[in-house]
Amino acid sequence: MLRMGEMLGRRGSKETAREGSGSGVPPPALETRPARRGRRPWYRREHPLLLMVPTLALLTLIVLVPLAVVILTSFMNITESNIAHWLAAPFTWLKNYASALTGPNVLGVSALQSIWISLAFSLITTAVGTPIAFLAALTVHHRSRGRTAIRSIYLIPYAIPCFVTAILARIIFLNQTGLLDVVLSDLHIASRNTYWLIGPNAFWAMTITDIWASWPLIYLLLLAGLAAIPKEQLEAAIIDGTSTWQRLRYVVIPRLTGVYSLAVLLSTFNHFGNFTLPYVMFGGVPPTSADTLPVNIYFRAFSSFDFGVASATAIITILVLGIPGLIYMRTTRLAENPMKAA
Amino acid sequence: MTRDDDGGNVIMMTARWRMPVSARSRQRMTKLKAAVVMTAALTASVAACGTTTSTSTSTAGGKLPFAGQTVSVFTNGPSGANSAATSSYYTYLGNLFHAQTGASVNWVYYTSSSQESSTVEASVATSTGPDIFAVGSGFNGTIYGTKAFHVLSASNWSAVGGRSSFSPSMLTMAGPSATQDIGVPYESQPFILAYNKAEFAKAGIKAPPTTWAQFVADAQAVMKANPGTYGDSLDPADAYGPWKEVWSYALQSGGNLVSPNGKTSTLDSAPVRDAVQFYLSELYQYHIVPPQCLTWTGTEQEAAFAKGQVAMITDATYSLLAEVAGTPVASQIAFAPMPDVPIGSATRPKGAPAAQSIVSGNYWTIGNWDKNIPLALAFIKVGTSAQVQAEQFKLLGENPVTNVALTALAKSNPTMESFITAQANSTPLPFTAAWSYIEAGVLAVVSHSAQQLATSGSLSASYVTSQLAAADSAVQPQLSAG
Repeated sequence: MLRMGEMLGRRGSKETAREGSGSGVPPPALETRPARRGRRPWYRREHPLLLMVPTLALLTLIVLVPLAVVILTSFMNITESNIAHWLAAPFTWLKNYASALTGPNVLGVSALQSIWISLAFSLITTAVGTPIAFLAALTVHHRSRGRTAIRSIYLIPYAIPCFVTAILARIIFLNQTGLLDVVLSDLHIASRNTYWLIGPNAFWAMTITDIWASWPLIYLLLLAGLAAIPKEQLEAAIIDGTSTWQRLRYVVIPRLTGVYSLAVLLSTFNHFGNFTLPYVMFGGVPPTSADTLPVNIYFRAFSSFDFGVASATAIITILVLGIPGLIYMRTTRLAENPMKAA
Repeated sequence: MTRDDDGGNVIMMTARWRMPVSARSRQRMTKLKAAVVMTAALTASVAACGTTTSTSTSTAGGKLPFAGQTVSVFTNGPSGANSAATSSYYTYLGNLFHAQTGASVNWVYYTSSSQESSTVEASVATSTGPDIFAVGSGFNGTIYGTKAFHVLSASNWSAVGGRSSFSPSMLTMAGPSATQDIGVPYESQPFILAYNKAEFAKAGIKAPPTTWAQFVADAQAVMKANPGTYGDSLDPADAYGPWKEVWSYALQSGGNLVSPNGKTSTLDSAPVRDAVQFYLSELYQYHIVPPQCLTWTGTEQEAAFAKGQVAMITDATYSLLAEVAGTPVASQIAFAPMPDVPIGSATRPKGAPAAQSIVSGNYWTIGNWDKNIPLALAFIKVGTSAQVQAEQFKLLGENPVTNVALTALAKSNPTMESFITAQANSTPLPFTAAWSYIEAGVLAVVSHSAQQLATSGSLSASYVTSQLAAADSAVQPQLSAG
């Protein structure tokens, strides 16, 4: 197998030869690389790897070291009384994980309950947001009058900072005086005295708000995917006499599979890690139905000062989020190389 | 760079046209200049994005004791209705400190309680961070428990004017004992009852309530006389509001949330159950609060009061004046001590304190990592001087904490009598690192009870009892471990 440097060298030589046999007009001063026959020094051979060293060092410092610290502290009993000398804190090994999964946080919710809440929240939000985003992308894909304006309007929810969205949602979902209760009661659908920011309805208020705020992320990715579909394929399909639906079903959607998978993955991660929305929307004390995993970790760490259990909960979060990540990597690898599946 | 003709991939070109040396040199210089300009711009923008701001750093001459030095102070950033006033206060204090010592202040702001907690914890864990932390009275016990803050010696107290020069009530939350103080108080915010004089007058009420029974009766009378107005409001969604009312009522009933030594939770006791029930009974039993307030925070409570939608607001502070400024309510607002007799009784049980307000205020604490304790103490001395205390009240409405400044305020401003009395009579919380667990336990019970109320429309004593038992079980191991 050729190394990258060797590949570049060979291609370079070939290209030089091609340029040299041109139309007879002498090129400007050219510097040609001499052919290399002997073994090159290590720093030449490993050149691409060496160039990656600063990035790898930064990644280690920014990502791996904090991750290692969180993994370490997830096995330790760290509270406010020993955080000043946390490296000397006693090890409790898997006890923190057991406490996180079964024991409640200060709001009476265990990490296991929060995992289900976060999963339901992420999956519903993504499942509802994706078709909306797909339809929106289709509406502005082709050139039409006012397309730029509509594209800009579509991006408004995504452009609004999350905490502002949460405050707006809080105003809309307020009991009695909120816009939703007023509209629903005027339409005789629900009582004006319906609580959305407390009790089981809080989950739906949070989910609806996040769908509204986040579908443009998927929309942007799908729009880019649509733009990448070769025009020739669509033209060929038209010549073959396909209907709009058939073109969508057999040309567009298959070409969008990769982008779609990425969009779903990113969207799920985005929703799963959303702390600001429940924390701001419910005024600092989220109801049980909206106690998502990030909120659970926050209350473990900053209300109970139970840093060991908070770290264990964070590691559980990473593991849970790793599952869709692995599925994505597996499916994209298979898509790239179907022979590997056999 | 060129584009490969068969694959569309970008590849490196190994043969290139050589630019003349002078042109290349010029190009390099241009690139270098651009890089320098961009780096400078980036550095400036990053600095501008930070949350720190410092007062003038110019030295004021060699005669001043700390000329050219800087102390960093972690405190709440200017925000809300008091934003401009808070900025003015920091500028005033920074300039005065600079004039008196030659040193500068680097203010490090936080904008939320979560940011406050995380910064304190990060500083403790890494033994680095700001020199001085402004900490609320309820958080003092927790940070004392970290053993990462400087315990003030007698000479330290002398350096800031002497321990006896401070309000005795405020000193109760400075540390677990007189020899183990970690905080120097610099402002007090006693909690008090605010009411709307016009709405009270319309209902024919001459004086504010002194018992909780009167409170309910007054609220009902106000509602009757002022259609569309509610007597009071709740803030169950506020992380810092409800537990104070539960604590107050439980103590007035002869109970407490935790044993005096902070080791045993008493969350499952009858007085605490009654306190939680009374708090929420304002909605489901007495109907004196708007139904929508079941999801309110303190901010929404204050906004409703400022609009005249509610006639009373419990556990208010002087800063409410800034909230109502410019509204018709501004001329009608009045303050009184909180009621102190539980409902159904003519007097408090024997030995039960009035507990109208917790000892509330802010303290300056010094991190153990601070290498210049004399400079930190010099800052605290300036910050608690009579001059700054007077300016602090003028700008922010925060009560002074030194005896001299309090006497001066009482003489110059008779309307402050209620606040000064409330401060003097305020009751300290148990000084324990585990207080945060107690607070969180009450928070959970109130939150769950409010959810039950929102879902079913009623709240039974058995439900509250079961929630309190669960909170007690969750809290007790933490207290025992602490």
